[in-house]
Amino acid sequence: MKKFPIIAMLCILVAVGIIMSAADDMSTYATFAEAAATENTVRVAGQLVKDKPIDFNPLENANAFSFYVKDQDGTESMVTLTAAKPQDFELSEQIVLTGAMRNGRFIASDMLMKCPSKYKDEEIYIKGNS
Amino acid sequence: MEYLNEHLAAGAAGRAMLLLAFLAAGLACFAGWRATQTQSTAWGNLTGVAYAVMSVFVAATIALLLFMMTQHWYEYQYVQAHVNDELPFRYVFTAFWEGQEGSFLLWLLWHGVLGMVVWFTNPKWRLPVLTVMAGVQVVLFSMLLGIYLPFGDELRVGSSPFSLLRETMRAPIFQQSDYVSLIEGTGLNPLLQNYWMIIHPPTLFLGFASTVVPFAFAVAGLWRRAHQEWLAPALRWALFSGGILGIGILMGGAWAYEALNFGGYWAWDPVENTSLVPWLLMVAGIHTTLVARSTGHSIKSSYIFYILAFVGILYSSLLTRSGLLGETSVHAFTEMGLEAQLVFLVGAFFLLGAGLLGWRWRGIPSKAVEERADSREFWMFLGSLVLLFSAGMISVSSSLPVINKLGDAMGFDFGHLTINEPVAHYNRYQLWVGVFMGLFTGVAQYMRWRGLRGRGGTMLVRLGIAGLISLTLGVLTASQLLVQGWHFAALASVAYFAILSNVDYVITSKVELWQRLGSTASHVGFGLLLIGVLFSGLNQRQISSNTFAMEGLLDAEQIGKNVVVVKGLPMVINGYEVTYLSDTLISNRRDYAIRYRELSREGVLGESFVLKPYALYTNDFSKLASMNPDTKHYWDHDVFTHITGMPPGNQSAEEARVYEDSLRFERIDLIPGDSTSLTRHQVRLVELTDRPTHPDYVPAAGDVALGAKVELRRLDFDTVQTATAVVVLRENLIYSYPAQVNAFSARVRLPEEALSSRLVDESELDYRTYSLAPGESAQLGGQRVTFVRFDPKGVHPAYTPEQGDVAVVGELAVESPGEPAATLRPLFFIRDKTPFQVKDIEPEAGLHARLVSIDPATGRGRFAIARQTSPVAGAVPIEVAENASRTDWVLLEATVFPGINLFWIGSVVMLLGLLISMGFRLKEKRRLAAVTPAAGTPTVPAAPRPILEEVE
Repeated sequence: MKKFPIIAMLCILVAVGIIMSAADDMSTYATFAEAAATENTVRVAGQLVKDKPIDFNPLENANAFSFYVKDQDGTESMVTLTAAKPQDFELSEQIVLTGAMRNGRFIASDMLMKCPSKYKDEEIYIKGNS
Repeated sequence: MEYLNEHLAAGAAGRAMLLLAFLAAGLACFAGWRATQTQSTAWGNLTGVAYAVMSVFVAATIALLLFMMTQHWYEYQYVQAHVNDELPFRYVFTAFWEGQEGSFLLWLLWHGVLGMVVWFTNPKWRLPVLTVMAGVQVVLFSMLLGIYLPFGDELRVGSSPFSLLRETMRAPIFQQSDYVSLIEGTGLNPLLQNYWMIIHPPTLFLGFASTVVPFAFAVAGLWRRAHQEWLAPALRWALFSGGILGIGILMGGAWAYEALNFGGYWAWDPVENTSLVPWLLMVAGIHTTLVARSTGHSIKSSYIFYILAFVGILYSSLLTRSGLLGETSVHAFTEMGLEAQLVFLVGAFFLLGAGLLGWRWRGIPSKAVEERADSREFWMFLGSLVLLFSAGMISVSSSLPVINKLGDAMGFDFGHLTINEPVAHYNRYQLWVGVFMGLFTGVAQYMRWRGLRGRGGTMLVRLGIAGLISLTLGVLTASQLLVQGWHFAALASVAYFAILSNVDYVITSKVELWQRLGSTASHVGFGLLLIGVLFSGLNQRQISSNTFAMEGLLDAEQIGKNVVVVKGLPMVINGYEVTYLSDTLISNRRDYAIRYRELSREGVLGESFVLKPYALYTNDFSKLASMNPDTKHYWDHDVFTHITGMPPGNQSAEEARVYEDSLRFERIDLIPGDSTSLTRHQVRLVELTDRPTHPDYVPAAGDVALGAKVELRRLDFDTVQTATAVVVLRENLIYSYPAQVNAFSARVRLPEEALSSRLVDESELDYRTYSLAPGESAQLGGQRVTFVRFDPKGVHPAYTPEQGDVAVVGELAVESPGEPAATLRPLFFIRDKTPFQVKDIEPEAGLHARLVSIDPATGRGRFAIARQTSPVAGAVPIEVAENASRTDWVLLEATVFPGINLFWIGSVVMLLGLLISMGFRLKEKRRLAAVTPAAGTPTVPAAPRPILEEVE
């Protein structure tokens, strides 16, 4: 019996299976409205709302950092990240949150920030007096 | 405009050398092609010379750029962007390859070195191989040319590392001819100031560069239709490449684990993934080449794997150097604006390889007979397929940003796809890759080339026994994991199976020892690595978890990684007693000392150790630059800790100001000894002092300082704390040093007005002059001032002696009714023949005194003394905030990684195995060269010579 046609078939089956199941892992960036409509974990991209409160009080809760994000549709939502406040948070230009909506609040387990490159800014360092 | 102090010759020399190297590479490529086609010795020699010249120019360019960096010639953009005056010398290399241009140069240098090694070690293949490598060099050099072509909107070819700052940007400062003396460098990203970053990039780039050699051999094999002969040299280079590239990637993991704070060695970041993919393909290529050398099967797959591995490296450069990854990766290079050129680089060499392969496809020998199911080649081929699957899945998932961009460019609107939980996604699929790899690795070792041929019985029995033992061990191991799952048991079982089968192989096989050792080391290492991954990944335990937080909000596993530890207060968490001992600020680095003590269930304290994570501030101290973790290594586990947060006052000047503004300070006016009550505290001003002490205040000459010692009494607890707040006037600036009372969450500070109540305008003082001999007194109202003596060694806080000064203090004793005795020490000095007076003030007595002159003949001194009319010791404004959270804490994350050493040891053994195999192949080559007469006939025997077949 020829093995290679069988192996080729198996490979194709496995590949199709992987593609079908991996498709569940991927999605487009959700909005807060879409996040509210599902129980699942989604990714939301947006910007930090700089004039709303940014709260992190480690002495009360070291693993809850709250702020407001405006999503692609312009909807604002309160977000609680279940981790400490990252460095240079206020400088972020774009935020990608991973999490789910719970009781009107987006609970994020993970956050990626895009910051203006800190060390390459087009600014000449003028020597100080020293 | 003429600029001063620019070093223009260096840049011109650098550009010239790069251009010459580019031309030499082009010449080597052309000459190599002619030589290969015509067998001409002259063209052949020219190829070698041109390639050598090119390599020397690259080395010289690197030396020049490094020299410019050590000289801090900031007029050059690359120098300005990567070093500064403070950067220690050992990091100049790191700074050099931090940028795109520097890392391209490093890559080019390794290509040069590897090409020369091929030239000297392989006379038979060097011409076509160097032709290909020189062609790659031409395209890579074009990245560094920095030439503008007058097409359309000025097409830029390459980005030169020798561009001047004033050419790359516009700024007003360039209107000054002496701008060079005014600018400072940006310096090296503090995250990269780590010893791993000195050795990781050169190793990784050697690994990147080495993938070109098997690719070049593959192209040469296709080109010369020598489909069998290229396999042996390509295999040696592929083993080298797999070993070095793997070590380079592993060093990156070690750096991430030691210096970054994501707490792990692998994060499935696109940058990591795209360097792993070529490694997987290279390893697949090694296996198919072994098959091809021994049986004649899999020659086509070997071609495919080596071409893909090299194209994978180029693709990885495209992703990391183009800014395409922007939103999904934390550590990509900054953009260089050469996307089109990078796409050309990938496309050109993919088309070269694929086109040539397609053209020659029909002529590539392949076996008509299929591999038998009991043959080793069958299982090795299956293993290579699994590796290809793995590489494909990782590539597609990491390429989502590229796919999105392509979709945009082609006008499809399918939204921007993203992986919801990347780490879980990769782990889920790569786990099965691991399972099949381990399984096939083990099975292949029980098979023989071309089938077992009558020995099937014993082999199957041994395989079965090993399988049973592995399954038992695997299930036992999985039961020790904190996360249960039969797929983990499967992975653990195949890991043991890979180890056992290879141990069996190394003991029973009759092939040469070094050949056995190489493959066994690689496969056993792989098995150990899998077990290490299981333990360190699934059994990692947060010491610092805080189970109260966020309960009911999300899954338990996502709860709290951070915990607050207050200085000096031991805290018991998850089997450890953790104490924040101290923090020390040295230069721009704050070192923390965190003590851990193991705590048994019975509450007995065990071994203790101190970890020292640290925080680095930017060079101008305005804010935090990075926080570096620290790890305690044990043989079976690591304790990893890093600071994830600190009081705002320690983070940045901006945060400190915001925090200070957020406090509700209440102002009270008190005279020493008086007290008043606020909401929660009774505040008493104990005393005022002109020479205050404060942990942050370093007194300097000329300071006008005021300190207020304040006693706070908690109204509800009736406990007392004292603190000293200080305010200082120095060179017309006011500095405030508030006092934090952490036990009461209170903060005390002195406003600026407190100081002004202590300062009196000189012109409002009514000085009277007194001529006094030592022992004589003057009466001022109720006070009596006695001149005690001249003190030529006397000091004054506002006076800094200089060479050649003549200085004398006139000591005056003050007696006031109802006050303790006091002393005034005005100072008189002569500097450069000019007399100066430094006055002294006695605030309690309200007296100001100057020593106006000295009569050397009579020994008298002339003093000007004034009494202040308004009382100095009046009420002083004090501000107290009762809502000031404590500032003596850190937020930290602490993780136990069990079995992480298995991961490191497994990886290192696996990669060393590849290098051992390479060593064996080199020995084999020399032995063959000694046996076969050195007649240089390039004709090939039709059948593959099974030189590596097992002795049976």
